[in-house]
Amino acid sequence: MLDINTNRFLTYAYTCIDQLDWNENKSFKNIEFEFFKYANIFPSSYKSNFDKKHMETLSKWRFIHTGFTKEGMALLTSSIDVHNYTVLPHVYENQHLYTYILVQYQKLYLKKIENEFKDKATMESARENFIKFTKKLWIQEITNDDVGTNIYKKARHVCEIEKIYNNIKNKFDIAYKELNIEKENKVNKIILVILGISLLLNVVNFIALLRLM
Amino acid sequence: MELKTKYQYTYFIYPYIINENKYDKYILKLLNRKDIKVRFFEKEKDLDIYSYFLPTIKEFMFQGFEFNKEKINKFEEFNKEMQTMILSKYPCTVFEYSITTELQGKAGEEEGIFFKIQKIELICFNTGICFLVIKTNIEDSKEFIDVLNFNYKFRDIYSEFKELKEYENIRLQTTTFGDVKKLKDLIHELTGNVRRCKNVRYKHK
Repeated sequence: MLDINTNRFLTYAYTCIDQLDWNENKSFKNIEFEFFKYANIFPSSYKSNFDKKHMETLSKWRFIHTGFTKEGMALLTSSIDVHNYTVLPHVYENQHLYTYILVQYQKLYLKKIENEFKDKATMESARENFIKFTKKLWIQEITNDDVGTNIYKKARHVCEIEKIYNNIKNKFDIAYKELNIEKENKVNKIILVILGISLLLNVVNFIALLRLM
Repeated sequence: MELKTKYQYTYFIYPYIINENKYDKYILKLLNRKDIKVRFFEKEKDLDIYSYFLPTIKEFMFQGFEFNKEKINKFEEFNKEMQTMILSKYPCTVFEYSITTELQGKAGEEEGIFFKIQKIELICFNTGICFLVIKTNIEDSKEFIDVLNFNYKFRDIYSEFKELKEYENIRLQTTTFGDVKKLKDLIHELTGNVRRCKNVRYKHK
């Protein structure tokens, strides 16, 4: 059974708030807790303290903050700049959305391989698929755009893509080393048997020679 | 603190997996629906996407931007089986669902968060991994707290255990579908009721 949550949607949100609440005189700190709830998809009634160190964010621009969690991605911006509610929403729901989908795809693909690997019958197939994945989809760079590159890296980091990939790689390495040792042992046993038979034949020949003499 | 929104939308993404060996059949099933059409990526129309991604990704996710108006017309002249064959060779195909807006008006109670479904897409990879993508936005409200509550509630709309959360005082109503149940039924229909994936074989093409 593939280990994915089929009960809950991933959330990919964009919100531009009125500049009255976030501007040159009203800093992000005033709304940081709201941003935290928004990025973590908590309800408005959530009141517990939060540790911002444990949240992955991209805050390259003063009035655009993006939060990344395993359950989604959320961009919060201010209407202080017209660009933020005209151009940005379009870019976010096209280029960045497809970037996010790609990352989710990589994650699921690796989980599928990991799942296949558990079954001895499909291990070889899993190995082939892992190699193909490495050749075609293990992509470190998808765009020359600076923001896009950062989004890709952050999303991959939160989804632990590298970790899953390395886990699978290590498992394969161990499995195949073990397989090779087993193969070697088998070959060694066969060689021993052949040597044994050869020795026996030599002894029989020697005895036959002695009798002749 | 009551923040006001100027503009917002939320995409909800539902990942599901179909049997890779039945990917062709699934594509054919989608193509046979009158409310589903293929999304073609064209250099001119999707220039932003075209100029953003590197060639490997353009090749992988966007049909290599091979389609233009002429090729699309030719494609549409083929029968569904031929169309399926063509689309299956691409690692990724995007389908758009046509939303027919039902009768307007806020059904039932006035309380609750009203939202609209603007778009539904299916992003399908030929490995059997697919994503149902729903674009929503809140209607008749500029309150940020409504965005928080809506996102919190909607993401579990397809949950098997949704009834457990009914006690929470957040109600959703939509003007796009008669009720939320119809949306759930649609999701069920489009994704083939895939809740679990047992023994799914995988082969990357």
